[in-house]
Amino acid sequence: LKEDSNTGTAKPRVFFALAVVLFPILTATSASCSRNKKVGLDELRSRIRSANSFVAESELFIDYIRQGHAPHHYIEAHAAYLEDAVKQFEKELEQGNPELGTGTAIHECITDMDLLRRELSSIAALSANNHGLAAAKTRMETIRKSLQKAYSSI
Amino acid sequence: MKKLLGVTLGMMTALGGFVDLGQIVFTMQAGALFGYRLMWAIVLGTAAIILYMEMCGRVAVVAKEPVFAVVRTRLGFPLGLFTLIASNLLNVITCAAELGGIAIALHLLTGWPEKILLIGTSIGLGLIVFFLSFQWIERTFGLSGLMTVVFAVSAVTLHPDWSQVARGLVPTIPHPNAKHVLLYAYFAVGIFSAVLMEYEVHFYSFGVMEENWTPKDLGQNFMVAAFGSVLGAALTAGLLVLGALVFLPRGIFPEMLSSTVLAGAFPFGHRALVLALLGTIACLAGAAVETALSGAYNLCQFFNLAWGKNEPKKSVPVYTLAWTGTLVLALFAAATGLRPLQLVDMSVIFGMVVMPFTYYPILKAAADREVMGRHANSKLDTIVGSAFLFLIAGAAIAAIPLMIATHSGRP
Repeated sequence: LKEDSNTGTAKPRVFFALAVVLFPILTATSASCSRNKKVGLDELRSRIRSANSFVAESELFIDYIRQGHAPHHYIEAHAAYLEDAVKQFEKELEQGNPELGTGTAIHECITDMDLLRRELSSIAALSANNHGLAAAKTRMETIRKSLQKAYSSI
Repeated sequence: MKKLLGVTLGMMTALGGFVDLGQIVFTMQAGALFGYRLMWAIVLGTAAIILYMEMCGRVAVVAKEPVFAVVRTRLGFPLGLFTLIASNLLNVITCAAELGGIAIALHLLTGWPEKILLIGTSIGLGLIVFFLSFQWIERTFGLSGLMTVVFAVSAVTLHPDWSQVARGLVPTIPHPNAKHVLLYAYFAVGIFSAVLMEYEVHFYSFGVMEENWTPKDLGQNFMVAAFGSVLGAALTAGLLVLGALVFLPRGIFPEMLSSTVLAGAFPFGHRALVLALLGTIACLAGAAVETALSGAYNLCQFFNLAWGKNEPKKSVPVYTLAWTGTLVLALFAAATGLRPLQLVDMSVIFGMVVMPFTYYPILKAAADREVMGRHANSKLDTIVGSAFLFLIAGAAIAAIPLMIATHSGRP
């Protein structure tokens, strides 16, 4: 293969490539930090949808356990991962800077996530208790309804 | 039998490349948000990867030029060196994400502490790569990765609406809402990038050279590239369907590997979940090995140093040190506490940006009649290859603004 010896243009090309490759790393970092920004109506809707997603996922998980399909290690570990994710999400909600009119809904969302986290922390212990799981699912439905109410109020 | 086992190169390349951590989570998220509407991105990416994988294999066989020698000669030393550094950085990030993903899957399976599993996994993979020949590495990970078929079987068992699936082959805008359109574009670029991850074609080219293919094997080259990629695409399509059927109706946006595995076993019982976990571990391990070895091949081929998995370790010291170093660096990156999915987001977008720098030299070399003789690209190959390169460049330019605008794909 022939060597491309166009050295006169090599430097600008390298700087261009450097910029092209470093830019995403910097922006990825800034994008990951951007959750601590002001929470307007659009952002609030997005966060309530995320909260709803956590609740729905927890309900799906309970259904799966009740069908007797999940090994015990999986139940313990997945419940812990979910709990961890909800905790992280709660922290993001608390660190957000609410714009006028969104504070109440955010507070409601934090309360609901706190309740969900408590439910998740007891799932592994309830895994063999069908009634206990059914009751936990009912409480999750209440959390979901509360979130829906918060969503429709904005 | 030898030919049949030769297919395992394509299988490992595709299973480790297509069905890696990024693809599993990214594709299910896309299905959870847009149903089957992004099926076209999988098909488009598969067509592109088959074309470029075949070209890469052909250049390796005919010109006896490994990928990074092609990159150096076609881009020139400075830009080539830059591409090498960027590619190997990407390999470390991807390898770290895969190691973290394996530790999570093993934790779900055994309940053992994740950090210990992370270290154990890295040592285990290091020993496998150290002691096994290239052929046995590809057979081990290519065949064990087939357990992920459980995802496709689950998807079919849930009875998707096939006419809707077929409609997904044509790009359609979901809602006339700017945020949705941006999210749709972000996931389209992400799926396209995850299917085309550059280490796949690099690894395939290294495999062709490790197995000493000759021009007589060029017929097999296309078959192996196509078979592996179509298999990977079918599994990826299965992930999209699962996202659409399990998560979309419930309003779930899956953000954890443990959730996606659950979807893979959803219609079945205990054993399917174990199989889904084992298949996921096999694919992620294949991807981790591919990226670690790619780092070593890239470095040695660029600087024209001795390389080869089947060579005695003493005669390829830099190569051995380089893949070991990639694994160790990846282990440190994974152990820092960065979640594997954060690393995956970074690798998918970063991978898209680096991609044109490696795909362009391959196209240029494969079309060069002086080097390739009668095995050079046909006009059609070059036209289609250029069209895909144009798309890759477009996706590379769009990737970063889309990532910023969508907060890395948050709905």
